[in-house]
Amino acid sequence: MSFLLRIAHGLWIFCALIQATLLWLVARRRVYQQFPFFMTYLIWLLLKTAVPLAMDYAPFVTGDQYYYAYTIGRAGAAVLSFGVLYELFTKTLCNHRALRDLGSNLFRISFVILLVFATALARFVPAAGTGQRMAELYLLERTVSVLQIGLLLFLFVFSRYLGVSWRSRAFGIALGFGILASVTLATTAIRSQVEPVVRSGVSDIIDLINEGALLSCNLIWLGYLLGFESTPLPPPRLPDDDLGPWNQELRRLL
Amino acid sequence: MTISIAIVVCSIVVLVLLIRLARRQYIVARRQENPADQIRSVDIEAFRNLIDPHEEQYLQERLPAAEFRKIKRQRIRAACDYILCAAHNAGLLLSLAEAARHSPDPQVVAAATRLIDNAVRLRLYALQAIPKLYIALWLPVGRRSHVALADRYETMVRHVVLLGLRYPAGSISSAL
Repeated sequence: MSFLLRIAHGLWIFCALIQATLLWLVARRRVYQQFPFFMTYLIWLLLKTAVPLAMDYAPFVTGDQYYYAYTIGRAGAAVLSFGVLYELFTKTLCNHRALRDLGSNLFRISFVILLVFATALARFVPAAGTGQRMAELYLLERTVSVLQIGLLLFLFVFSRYLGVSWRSRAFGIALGFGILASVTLATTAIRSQVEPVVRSGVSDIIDLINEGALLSCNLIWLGYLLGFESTPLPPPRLPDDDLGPWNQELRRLL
Repeated sequence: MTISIAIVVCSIVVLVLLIRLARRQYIVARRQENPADQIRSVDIEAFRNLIDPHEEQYLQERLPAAEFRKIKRQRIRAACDYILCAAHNAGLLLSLAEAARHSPDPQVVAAATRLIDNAVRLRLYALQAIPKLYIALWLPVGRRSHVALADRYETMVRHVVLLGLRYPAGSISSAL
């Protein structure tokens, strides 16, 4: 095992520990009441990290078995991540009466548009490289990452334009997701094109980057979960003389 | 391969944007500024005049075609400026109302919720109104949404005044 791969394994183990802590925190602080999909996603994420880790060290596990476990883990995480994104859309936008229906409709519309774009991208830039089976898997992951980033960017830009305030936990979840998805997009874009049959130095570096991104994402979630929900501060000054506009309003009413 | 490199570059840009956004969120959460200092003045009667179809018809009947088109473009630009100012003010009021929504007084919470609802609607209207105004340069489209925007702005000002009766709203209602 190379030095880089050893570090990546260390990060992998650390990630599993952080994810277990996250899950405990979510249960203890009852965050699941507010974000049930996020809780489910975390459970799956822990399984997705811990099961392949155990399989990697088990001598009797074959390459095919590992591949299927890895694929199922990634597919489940991708599906659940869209659930979390939907939750973020509805929680951020549906807080306001004016946006109640708009939140879910916008999610659907932007999802369809991004799906068309990501599918076209997969069609025109297909998987290459000698390790075809893994390259195709990375191509699928790249497609999912495009969708995730597109939805998150749309949510950030739209909520910023409307001036909708983010709850700190929702913002933390979205930020963690965004960082993970953007790093995954970059690494899968490379891997889907140059994936070799046998692991190389490039594979080790990319694994290390991926593990680092997952760890950063988990630490961001941990930080935002440990902190309390912030409430906006009231304006600093006490009211000045507002009698002018009040009189104007009274005159209008009379 | 070129597209793959472009994807990598895009994802790095997104990553940088996200980090900057997180930093900004952190800074904004700690910054205490009086929103009244940033309010831009909006003359709603002047705006109503700019979007009034009768006024436009009056100008069309009395001016040569070329001059009318020039005046119409200027009026649309001015109307867009008003809309942008109104949307900017709505954004500032949103931050004030968000803070007021956490008040222990239920009447303050109710007033703040109404203000938020109005400010969000106004920003949505503004998003639709500007492209519609530019389309109106070439096509005769309805002005109902612009009238709704003016009405919404007046309602929002009224809600600020009501909120200011119970909550430290600074000199916002005077600034509006």
